[in-house]
Amino acid sequence: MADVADIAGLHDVELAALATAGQRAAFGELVRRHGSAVRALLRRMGADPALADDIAQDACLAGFERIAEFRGEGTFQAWLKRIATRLYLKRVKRTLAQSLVQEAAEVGSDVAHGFVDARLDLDEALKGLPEAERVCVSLCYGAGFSHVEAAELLNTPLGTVKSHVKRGLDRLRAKLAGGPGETGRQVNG
Amino acid sequence: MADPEFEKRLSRMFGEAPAFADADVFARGIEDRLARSWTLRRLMIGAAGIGGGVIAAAQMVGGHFAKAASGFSTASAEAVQRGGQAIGQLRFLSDLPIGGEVMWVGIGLAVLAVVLMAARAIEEF
Repeated sequence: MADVADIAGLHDVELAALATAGQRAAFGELVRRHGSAVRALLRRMGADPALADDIAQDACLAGFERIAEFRGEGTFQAWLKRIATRLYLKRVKRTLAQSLVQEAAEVGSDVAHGFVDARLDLDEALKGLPEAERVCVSLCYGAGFSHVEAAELLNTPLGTVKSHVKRGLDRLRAKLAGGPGETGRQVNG
Repeated sequence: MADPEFEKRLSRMFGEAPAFADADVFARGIEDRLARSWTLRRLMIGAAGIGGGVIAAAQMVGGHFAKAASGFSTASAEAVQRGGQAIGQLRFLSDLPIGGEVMWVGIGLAVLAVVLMAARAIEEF
């Protein structure tokens, strides 16, 4: 059994192999490395911090159960993010379905109406997006789903997803126009 | 209009997750929950094994186990007797250049090896 010092130096794929063999410490190290990214993505998708942590925890536990399915083809983080986003979408299915339909029916874009602040970071910029746009953009650019996959996940026509993504990107571009913003900062759990 | 540069930048920004101050606490929480669920699973498997054993024992007793066992023991006694006779016919054992003590030591070592293997298996599982 690998000890803690050994585990810290291992690659994600090696840790996943150890976790497949039942080493919980190896999976704990994977969570230590990627848990924050998953929690951040869920918050960016619109979950409040408590819900985001709750779902991230469920996603990690589900990830451990299904760790044998991770074959190292993509990154472990992307794999875990996909599990987490699916769980989040299940939780907000009802309210999200409404906003997807309502917001898709809205005509035009109020990009110009948005404020432009060079200091705004991605989190702040995302908060200013309508729920459907925020979720669609996060799915495609945060969790790595294609438009088709996002449409299947959301049980929504592909055109609707593309439209939400496009409008979301337009708004984000306007809001983030001033610079890269503050990323990599520390967030209180 | 598609803006590949902005899309790349956005993906990069999504990839740059902020460091959570309680990341270690979060990970330890997951490890604890995994440990708890593993303990619970082991207890459940153990309980299921004991339950299954009790049911099997009850079935064997209720299903005239004693009668069947006596049949088995008669058959096995005959088999052992036949085996003994066959071994008795094997003259090569007495022709081996070893004494009876050496043979008994060999048998003892074999038993010891089996016990060690069993102990190792128990330790592993």
